[in-house]
Amino acid sequence: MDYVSLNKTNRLFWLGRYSERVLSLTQYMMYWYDKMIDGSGIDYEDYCEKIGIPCKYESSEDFIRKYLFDKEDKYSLRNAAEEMLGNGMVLRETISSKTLAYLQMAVNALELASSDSAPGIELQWVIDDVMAFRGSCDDFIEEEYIRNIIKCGISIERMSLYLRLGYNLEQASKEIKKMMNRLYKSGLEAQAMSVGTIELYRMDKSEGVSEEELLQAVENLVVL
Amino acid sequence: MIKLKFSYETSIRFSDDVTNHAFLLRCFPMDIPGQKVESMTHTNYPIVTGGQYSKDGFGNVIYTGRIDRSHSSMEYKISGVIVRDDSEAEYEKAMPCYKYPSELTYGNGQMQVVLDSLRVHGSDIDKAHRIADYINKTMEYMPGSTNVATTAAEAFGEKKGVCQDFAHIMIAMCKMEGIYARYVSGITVGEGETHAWVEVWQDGYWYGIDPTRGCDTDETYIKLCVGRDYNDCPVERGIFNGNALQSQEVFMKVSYEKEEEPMPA
Amino acid sequence: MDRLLSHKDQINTQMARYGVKFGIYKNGEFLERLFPFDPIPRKISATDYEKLEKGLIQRVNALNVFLTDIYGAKKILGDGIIPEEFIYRSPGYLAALENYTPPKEIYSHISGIDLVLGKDDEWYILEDNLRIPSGASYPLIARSLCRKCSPDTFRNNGVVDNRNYGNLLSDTMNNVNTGGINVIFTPGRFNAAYFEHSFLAEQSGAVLAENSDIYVENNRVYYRSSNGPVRVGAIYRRISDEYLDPLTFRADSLIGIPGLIAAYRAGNVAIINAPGNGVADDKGIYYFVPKMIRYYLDEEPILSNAPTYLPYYEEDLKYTLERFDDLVIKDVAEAGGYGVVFGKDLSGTEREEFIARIIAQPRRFISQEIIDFQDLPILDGEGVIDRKADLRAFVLSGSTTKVWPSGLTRFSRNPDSFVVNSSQGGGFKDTWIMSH
Repeated sequence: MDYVSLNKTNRLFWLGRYSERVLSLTQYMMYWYDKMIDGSGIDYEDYCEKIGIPCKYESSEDFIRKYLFDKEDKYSLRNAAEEMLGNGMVLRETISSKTLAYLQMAVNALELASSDSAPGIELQWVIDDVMAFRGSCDDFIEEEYIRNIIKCGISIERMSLYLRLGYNLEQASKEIKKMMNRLYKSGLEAQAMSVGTIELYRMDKSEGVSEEELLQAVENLVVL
Repeated sequence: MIKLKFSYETSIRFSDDVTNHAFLLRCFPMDIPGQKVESMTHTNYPIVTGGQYSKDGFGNVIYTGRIDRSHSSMEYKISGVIVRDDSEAEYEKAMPCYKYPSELTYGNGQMQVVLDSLRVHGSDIDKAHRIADYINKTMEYMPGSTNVATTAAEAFGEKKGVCQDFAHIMIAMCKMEGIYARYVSGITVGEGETHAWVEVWQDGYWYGIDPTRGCDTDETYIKLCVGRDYNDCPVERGIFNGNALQSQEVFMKVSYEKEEEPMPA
Repeated sequence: MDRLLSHKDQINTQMARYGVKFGIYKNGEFLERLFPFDPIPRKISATDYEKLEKGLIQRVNALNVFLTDIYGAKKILGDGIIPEEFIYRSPGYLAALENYTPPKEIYSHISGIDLVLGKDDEWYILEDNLRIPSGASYPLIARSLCRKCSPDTFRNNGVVDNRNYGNLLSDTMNNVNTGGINVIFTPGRFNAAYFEHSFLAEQSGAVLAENSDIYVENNRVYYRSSNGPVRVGAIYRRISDEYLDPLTFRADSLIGIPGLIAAYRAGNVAIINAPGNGVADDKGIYYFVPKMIRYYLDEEPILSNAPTYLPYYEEDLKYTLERFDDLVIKDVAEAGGYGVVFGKDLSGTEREEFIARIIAQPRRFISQEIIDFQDLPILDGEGVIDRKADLRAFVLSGSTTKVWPSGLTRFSRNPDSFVVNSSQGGGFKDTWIMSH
């Protein structure tokens, strides 16, 4: 029996969110690394606006490297990975040292990738490690509601990225269903307004609820 | 033997709302031989969660509790009846720490020079009287000239202070002479603020000496708590969430309890 | 064995994987460092260990009786074995803990006793750490990684398993638990030993908590769980006394638990280790530990102190000044390898000033003969170099006093340094207690 304080709940939730941010964005950037082979660069100004971060990059290449690897850039993926690890470190006895090791390995892989001109292989390791982390969580954590706090964070982050970047929207209904299911199992407190908006969207997604409103609802769904 | 009626009231105001306020009070008359608490009431505002009485390392009664929800003031009031009788005092051992300097009661060279010139001699009580007399005559009583963190040496250098500083200096100088001495925080017959004085231990008994007023304590003095110095005896300590400044008003009143008229049969 | 040594890099990679780190503050900035591991173990034979174990148990038992006495009857002072000054002028003495005895009269539940092995093959006690001795997690995790990298080594050498530390720790907590869960109380992620706090919580099954997770109500301690309050019966706190309770100690402590000391004095929670232990692991008190063993246990000390002099005594002051160049002088108030001066390293005005300080405040210093202790081999590239090393033995006082059959062997980074301390560089080794 593990005891979870409000602080810990908060960390579990953000551990989920950051792990998804690292996973999704690594995949997203790998997609653009591949595109760049054929000469098309990412529209980084548009990306920054959608994600809601300041755009201070000089070129596509400059953006990809700094956004992925720059420790000094507080919006970078590298920093998201550090946050993920940081939240994991304060949850060691809940998620186990074995599970935590995968987060450490993901950060180590990202560090290795930063010094490689072709970081594709190392980025794949990052993805592998995050996936292994999730498997290990599932395997180790006894209480279902604790697992679902992490998963709820994962779903919310994933929906948030889909909506912000406008991709995989065809998956939205499926993800929302998963998200709500996890939310109820986690025992986290839900904001009634957000739940209302999301249910409305699920019932009739073409009308009534804009993507912007849905994003707001997703972001505000959990009361911590 | 005399009977004293006392009341002690403090109100603390915060410049802004505070939450999760945990506090400790140390302002209850000691219930000891020579000073019997006949009755006492204690009230707090706002309502306190989980309040408990217990004793600290010096044997003082403390009350700890919390006020979690938002509030901008806190009040507590203690009142009751005390029976004072110095002839009831009992033999007790002194904690050895009362012989050694504490944070606020370190002596210095300046004090040593004075001690040498005073040529204190005789019993510990005689020596302590000589020291108290010197402090009473040479120190100027000046409210606002020092604060709760002022050390004995600092106040001694300035030649001014309040009762707390007078007591600290006396304790420091007694300790330099190898005398057991302790700080007493208390209230005395009259109205207004709390007071502080010194007790000196000799042959199993504590004797009260008031260097501020230049006299021995008598049965009009009520002890709230004792310790090595002020740091051991603050009447209140608290910690809270919120960025607020704290101001405090204290009012105490001690009077002789009049013998009640016998009820007509 | 060679196989183990050839796996040095692999083992250190594994350490990185498990985030085996300790933090240091440098120029006000928090940095996390890996704690370098050297794969050549320190081996202690079964016969040597037997003596060591007995001696350590004896010492820690005496220290616990001493603490009970100091905060209680004070017989050792009354009988003139220890001058009062060494207690009441020590910053580790806490008057707030007077007139109270903790559960089962145990003050030092987890003791870290630092020793060195002299060239004469004798163990000497360097210092006792009875407040928050850290470091057990490092050899603990190193052992499990080494076993993974080089199973043959452990199959072929009779090494006593040390992986029971978590159980020893939970037994120690359970023994004094007043009813409720066990908690490891950490100041947070940016503490030098955070890795250890979280690792020990995992190993012992205790709940890791920070101050906002804990509160006191009705002189009882509770953990703020999301399913409601849970009573806490034992707190293994990893913050120092002065920060523990802002209502009793430092009023500006934002990492403490307000009201904890009142709850503790009411007998409603155990604090591990007890507050106030600093009075017994002071460098000045160190001198008196052999006397304590004789006084309280009526036994001869099994383990020796390094030959130590107290300038407080006229004779010892004279000796210290005469043999200044041959001695190491320690400031009683400083810890962590700071305030340690080798007489021969001082010259000119520095030397004169230091000597003047000793004469002015003799009670503040001890002087010791420099023990010629054995070097240990360290793997350096392809070769092996020698470095000074000490051993921190962990002694756990539960229903009985037990020595953890392992320990933290730390070595110095510089060849000429006698100071082995994790906050001053250097690394660590596993310590093997041999089963034969």
